Formats: sequence, C-alpha cells, structure tokens
Amino acid sequence: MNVFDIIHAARPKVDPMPLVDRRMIREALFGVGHDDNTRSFGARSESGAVVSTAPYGTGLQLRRDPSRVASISKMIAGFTAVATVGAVAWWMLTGGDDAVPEAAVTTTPATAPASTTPPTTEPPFVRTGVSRSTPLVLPASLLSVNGASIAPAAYGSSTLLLTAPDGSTMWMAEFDGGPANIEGLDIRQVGAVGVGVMESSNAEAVTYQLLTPCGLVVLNDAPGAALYRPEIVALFESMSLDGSATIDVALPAGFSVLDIGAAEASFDAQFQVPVFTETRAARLVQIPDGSISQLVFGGRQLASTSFLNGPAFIDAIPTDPTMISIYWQDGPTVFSASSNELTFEDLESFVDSLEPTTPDGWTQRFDTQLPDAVAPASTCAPQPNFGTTLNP
Amino acid sequence: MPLTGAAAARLYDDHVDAVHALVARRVGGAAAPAITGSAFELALRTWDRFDTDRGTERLFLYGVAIKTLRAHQDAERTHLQSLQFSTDALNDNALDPLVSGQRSAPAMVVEHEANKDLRGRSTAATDHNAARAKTPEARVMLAVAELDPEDRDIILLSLWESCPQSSIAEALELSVSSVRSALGRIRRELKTAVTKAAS
Repeated sequence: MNVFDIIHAARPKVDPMPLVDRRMIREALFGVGHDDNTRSFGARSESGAVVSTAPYGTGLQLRRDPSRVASISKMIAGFTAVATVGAVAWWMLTGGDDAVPEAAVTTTPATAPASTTPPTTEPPFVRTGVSRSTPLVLPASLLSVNGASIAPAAYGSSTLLLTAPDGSTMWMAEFDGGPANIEGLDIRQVGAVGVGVMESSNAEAVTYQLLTPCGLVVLNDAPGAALYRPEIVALFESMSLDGSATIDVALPAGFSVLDIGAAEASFDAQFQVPVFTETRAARLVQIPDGSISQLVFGGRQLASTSFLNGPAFIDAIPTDPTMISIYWQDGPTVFSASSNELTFEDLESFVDSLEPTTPDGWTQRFDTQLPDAVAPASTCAPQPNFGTTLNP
Repeated sequence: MPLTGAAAARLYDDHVDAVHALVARRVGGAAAPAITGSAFELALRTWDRFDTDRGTERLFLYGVAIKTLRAHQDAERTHLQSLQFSTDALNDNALDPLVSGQRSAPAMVVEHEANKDLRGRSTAATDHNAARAKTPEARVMLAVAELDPEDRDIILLSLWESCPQSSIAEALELSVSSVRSALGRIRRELKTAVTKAAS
C-alpha cells in the first residue's frame, strides 16, 4: 500500500468560493477605507457572521456622499433626456404628415444584399435562470424601489450596434414615422445614401441622419470621433437604400455587428439594494426578446467583460465616471444593471440573488400594466427598416 | 508596510480562489471563506515580509494561509478524519467529539436529561467511525490528521496542491533539503502508524 497514493486519492473536490463570500471579504478588506485598521476580520469570522447572516456589502458604516446621490439622479435625468429627445423626434415624425420635405430624398435602386460579417454576440449564457416562460427576474424578497415602469415597444423601430475597426461602437436606429424632416440638415451624398448631420449634435458625439422618405434613421458615432471620419464614410459608402426604404450594408473590412433587434417592451426598475445598515440604488432594465442595442439607446462605448462568470459588456466610457453599467444576454432576455453606489461585485451579487418570474409576476409586484406597442400615427410609406444583410 | 489600495485588491482577485481552495480542502467549505478572509488580512498586514526576489505571491499567500490554519487545527483534524465518512448523515457536526486529546476516545457528553439525544448519537457515531476506520484509506487519513502540523502541511502541499519541493520550501520558509527529508520521514511514519492501527 502506498500511503501517498491514498492521500492523493482522498484530495477533496471543493466548490468554488461562493460569490457572495468572495465579494463580502473583498469589501471587508478593500471596500471602504483602505487605511481603516479598526476592523478585525478574524474576530467576526470566528462567529461565522460574515458568511452566514450578513447581507450584501461591508459592515462598515458608509458616509453618505451627496454627490453620488446626485449622480444617480443625473443618470436618471440623462436617460430621461435621451428619451425626451427621442420623444420629440417621434412627435415630429408622427405628427408631421403635412410637412413637406424641402429636398428630394435620395434613394437608390434596389440592390442585391451583400454579404456581411455575422453577429459577434456570444451564444446566450443563462446565469439568471430566465427562460422563455419566465423571461424576467425580480428580487426574491421585497425591496424598496425608487421607480418601476414598462416602456412600450416603439412600433417598427429597430436598433443596431456596430463595432468599428478602431474598436469604437456606433449605434444606429430606425424609427417609423411621418415624412422625414430634413430641415436644417447639412446634406451630403455619400456613396448611395444621403446623409445629414443633425443640428443637435455636439462635439462629443456626432449624430448622422440618413435621408429616407419616412421616419427617422440615425447613426451615432463614438464620442470624440471626427465629423465624417474615414470609417464613417466607408460605412455610409457601403450602405444601400432600396425603394422599400430597406437599408442594407455590405460591412466594410473591420466592422462587425455587435447586436441588432426590433424594439420590444422594456421592464425598468430602480431598486434600493440593502447593504448592511443602509441601501444603495441599482437600476435593472430587462427586455425579453430585446437586443443590447436597444438597452444602450443612443449608444455606449462597450467593452467585453465577465459578469457572473458569463460574457457581458461594460460601459467603457460612462458619462458619470462612478457609474458602472453592465449589459448581457441570458436566454431570451437582455439585461442592463447599473449603479454608481454599488461596486461591480455588489452588482454581481445583487443580480445573482434575483429569481426568474413572468411578465405578469413583474407587473403584479409593481402594480403596473403591460402596455401595448405604440402604433404609428402616420400613413407615410415606405417606412425604413434594416435589411437582411444586417438582420438575417 | 501593509499592502493597500489597488495592488492589494489585485492580489486578492488574482489569488483568492486558489487560497480558498487550499483552505477548503483542509477544513471544509463551511469554514473556508472566513479563514480565507483572515489569511488575506494577515497577508496584507505583513506584506513587507514578501520578498519578490525569493518567491511568488501565490506561495507567500499559501504560507500565510497555512499559518492561519494553525489556529483551526481542531477543525482541520475533524475535517480530515471525516473525509472517509463525509457521506454519512451521522457526521453532521452535531457533536464535536474531537476535542484535542480525546480524539480516539468516545465523545464526552455530560450526563443530563437534555443531552440524551446527544449521547445516543455520540455512541452511534463513534461506533460507526470505528467500523469505517478499519479500512486502509480511513486509517491513512486518520494518521494524516494526527501528524505534526508542519509535517501535515508538507504532505498536503505536495499531494493536494501539487507543489514541488522547492515551492513547499518557499511557502513554509524551509530549506528544500528539509522538505525532501521530511517527505521521506513522513511516508515511513504514516506507514508505521497505519500498520500499527491495523494490527
């Protein structure tokens, strides 16, 4: 008998460290105040309290930083502002049937769809347990919420995220609506499409508008990108717009489709996540059958990351540097979790604690109603749409 | 100087899983997170002892984790001895009969009406362990649990963490020759202990 072989064979197989323990120890060590020498982790660990009874986060008292509270308010305001801009555009489009375009809309004859790079989104990695029958998640216990709402799907709208050769992310969207409003646009013919630069664009991110008979097609370039930079010109030159207002793109070399999808209803809630003796705000947006491109409405610069051991994207250049925004897909649903009060690990723990539910379960929890899709108010035709080269 | 800030957080992120696994194999999953936390706290506080020219972060942390485990030797012995009985419902830690010095004796339960259930289970568990300890595998692990702590560290770093002798020496701040000779000696001692127990 070889005793060493027996010992080796007895080597226990251990489970990975529970995420909540890993995060809590990390917070106890580094979460708040690196120079805090008053803590005695060992004293607490002997009782097991650290691993068994404590809720999320550190046991240390945190000073409430008013600027962080203000920041999350700014985040909400930011989303509201984006939504407002969209709403205004929507109103202008859908309510402007009597408006007459001042310039002829440039379209090209129908062309055969060109081949394009296939979507690069990883296969769904289900970490939240959602499924086709239970596509949403909710906290197992009742948490305070700052707000909960369901945004209806915009009828006939689609969004698209493209990755440019330099790694930047471009966001494109098409909305149904009345005759296109091109007033004030500096129109330029680029390849087969007419392009204007929207006046509301600022120096940080240029918004281009494709000229279409009806509705609105916009493309937001990356923040800081130069007007009509070569990559954007190459992209426009690869586009075609047929008589049905179908936009097809033979993606130039180096471009790839990060995600694309039709607009779907989004379930949005801001929770107060308990962290020991206080709560911290975290926003969770869920879109069954949705796309990452809808989650990042208006565009974000995304970088790949790992979230709950699965592939995800993180907002690499957040407007608020303290804001952490994670985007991922599980099964049929795309999710966005964001907070400027929780750490990345806190967000992981929070999401990890969520449980699958049905849309009815979600609406019952927040006493809301599932809205119908917003129907178009315009009879303008043809409405824009993405072709099969982008959305096969 | 303690290690703080981003460097400390990076150290934790890079090595916490490995350190936790080492600790969990020695004391079980339930106690491992807390001991791992204590080990990291100690490691960060004594980081000035880490010599980058001499060793790696991982092995320094292993060494600190093993030092931390020394304060939990009873729990470690209990866990090691229970490895052969881990699937048995009797071994649910309702009792802790393995108080130092009484490990081979029946559990001490105070005579009291309230302890009636405990006494019954104590006897059952002891009988069961005694029966299982007749297997060679169980006798080996019982002998490992009874080893001198440093010897146990050497043998388990070698066989469970796949550390070469030089790494074991680094983690335990020993010379390589000491580790080499210890491994030979431990093998002989274990064989002797197991043979003796069998007879």
